[in-house]
Amino acid sequence: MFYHLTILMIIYSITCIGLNIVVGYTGFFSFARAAFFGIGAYTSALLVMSGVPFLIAIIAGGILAAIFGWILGLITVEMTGDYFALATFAFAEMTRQVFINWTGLTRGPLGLPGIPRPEIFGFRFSTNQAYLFLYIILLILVLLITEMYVKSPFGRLLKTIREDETAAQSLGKDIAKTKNIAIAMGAFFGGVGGALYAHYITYIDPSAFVLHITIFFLIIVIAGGMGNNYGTILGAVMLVLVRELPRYLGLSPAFAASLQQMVYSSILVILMLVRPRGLLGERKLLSEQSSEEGGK
Amino acid sequence: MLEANGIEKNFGGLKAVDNVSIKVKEGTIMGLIGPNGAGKTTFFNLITGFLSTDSGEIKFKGKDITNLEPHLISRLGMVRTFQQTRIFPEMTVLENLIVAPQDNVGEGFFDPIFYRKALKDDQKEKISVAVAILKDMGLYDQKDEYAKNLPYGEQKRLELMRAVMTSPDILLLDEPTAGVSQDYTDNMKSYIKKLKNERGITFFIIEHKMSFLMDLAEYLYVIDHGKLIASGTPKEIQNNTKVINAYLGTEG
Repeated sequence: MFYHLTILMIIYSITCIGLNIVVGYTGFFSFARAAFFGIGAYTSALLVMSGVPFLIAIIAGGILAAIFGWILGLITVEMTGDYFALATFAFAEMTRQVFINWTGLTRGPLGLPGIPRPEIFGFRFSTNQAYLFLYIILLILVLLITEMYVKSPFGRLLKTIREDETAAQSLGKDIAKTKNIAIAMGAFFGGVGGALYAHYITYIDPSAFVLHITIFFLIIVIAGGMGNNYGTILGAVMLVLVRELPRYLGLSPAFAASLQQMVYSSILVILMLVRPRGLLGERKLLSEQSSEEGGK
Repeated sequence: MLEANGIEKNFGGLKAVDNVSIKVKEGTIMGLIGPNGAGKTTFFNLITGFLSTDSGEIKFKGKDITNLEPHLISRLGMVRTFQQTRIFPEMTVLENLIVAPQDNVGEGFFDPIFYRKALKDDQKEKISVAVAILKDMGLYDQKDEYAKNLPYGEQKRLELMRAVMTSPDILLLDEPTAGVSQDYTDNMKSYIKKLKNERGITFFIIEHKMSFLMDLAEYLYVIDHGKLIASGTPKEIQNNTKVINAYLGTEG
């Protein structure tokens, strides 16, 4: 149970760190997360099943998701706020319909069973302990990369889009391009997360990529702390516990499900009232020290 | 330096800007005045590419910039501020400034990977420039404060400082003293003079308050109902009956 929950937390953390780039840093509410998660999952699963090595397959899953993210960015370049959210939602639904109807590739509602477990240089990660080890390393890698980005001038540029697009444009910033990169980056990690999910659960079908899971991811980011990667991880830990624990408490499934919904909603309402920017808010990344150094 | 010829803009049946032509000479401070709703801000939006013109031509440094995208116009060296101050509220004062320069290293996707060293050095340099400006403007103590927590007058100053960080050739200020106290107004005035003298920045300033521009600007344009009704030195404008009727008369 411990390994299972922790592995789920890591998969969702990686996915939501990507979502946080778009929602937390760049300030766009995207409802396309399930689509990228699904694209990554299907791509990687199908590639590994046809003999491609695991590491290459998950990266390919991420890249294909990023390409779709880029295209979505191009289409939605003029949209802000509600319109952007609706467009991404439509995109996610379209993607799900493709999963369902392209039966030649995805086997449609039957799903893909028997997705191979990860194998790197001949070592097969078959136990949950081995999984956890591998996924922790991947999480650290993802965290290092995204932290490097959000602390860089690029990350600061993302925030200006969230804060005031018009002002950023007046300073000569290419908002359209930067926004596009952010969506593609976010989609990449969503795809990688989906791939990791597929290789852990070993079975995927279109019902795993519905709006419900997108909302779940959004709550992780919002509850944990928008614009803070560690907050996202905290959010994933919290939400996985809320979602999975009732199953282990010996409650009837129907009761467990409604309890889960109630706890979800309560968490959201309480947080919005008490800490609207999430448990861990955004950090001030440009510290006193660095400015003192620069001042000398 | 900046030249606009026969600029027109219609909103439905309303002629917001009607055949306006202006010329801003390098190294001067010029003003654009007029009563509320005269079309001053619309005119600014047209010059800086935030709105597209219906007809007319805009030239900057000899280049045709009519209907160019705003960020490209900004990159040519013409940077504006806004009447409704647009700072980055959830970023610190220092961050607001650091993000502005147009030659920042590390804003491209691959930069954080390939230019790690250059990026660090560049950031250090930009921070020291920003700190110097903050000290100059007496905002140094608030440098790690979120911009939204500053009083309104200081937000206006921050917006101007941020524009200065882009190393512009010309600054277009849209009512830099709207809604701020006399202290801030005087402070703003001396800062603008200083920027002009020390950095050679050209200014084109919209003001509703005539007094602000009277001893600051060398030349004024007056618009009313979208039309250019007068131009000249502040003295000439003060004595122009058309202007007095349209504008000063309402204050007298």
